[in-house]
Amino acid sequence: MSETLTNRLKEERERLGLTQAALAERVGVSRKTINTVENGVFVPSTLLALKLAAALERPVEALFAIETN
Amino acid sequence: MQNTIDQAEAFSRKWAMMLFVLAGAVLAAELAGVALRTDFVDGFWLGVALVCACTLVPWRRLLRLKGPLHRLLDDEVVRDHRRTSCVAGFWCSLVVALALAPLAHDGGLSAYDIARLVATAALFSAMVTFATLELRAAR
Repeated sequence: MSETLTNRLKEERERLGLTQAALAERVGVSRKTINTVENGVFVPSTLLALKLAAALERPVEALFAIETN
Repeated sequence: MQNTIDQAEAFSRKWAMMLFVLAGAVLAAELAGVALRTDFVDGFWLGVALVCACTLVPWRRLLRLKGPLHRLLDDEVVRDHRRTSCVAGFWCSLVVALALAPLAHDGGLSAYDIARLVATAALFSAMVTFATLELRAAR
């Protein structure tokens, strides 16, 4: 049994009509960071997850979930 | 007029390309050193290797450089890429060192030759890994 972190970052970003660069600017990280988190390549720290949630006006658990295979 | 996000993106892309060039240069200097044993080639390799090593050091964090552009160029993903590339460099150098150990034991290669090969392998793999990860993340 393996666990992976899934996220709804892209959907929530698009709901607000933000580009990756605009979200990156809001959070204070590079666009690469937003891109890698959205693609599941990079697992963000708690600090970054909370910043993303605040920028997208959503609770952090609405953005990230654990998927068990 | 570019904003900070675009500036950071353009800079990190150029930095990644420069790392590929430097990685190629250190490898070429090493290969030239194998063929031509001159002081100039040895000195050139040492100079390039030192510059390469400096590119892997997180200077922005060590020098506590503030400002939005510096922060973007040393954010979580960049730190993760640097960590991953240093791990790749470590394993590559270990493999090369273990592969060369029998040759060193039989006296086929001097300690200087071994040190150069191990350092070149470590630097080359670390820099190529870092540059690849950075370019892939920027897609």
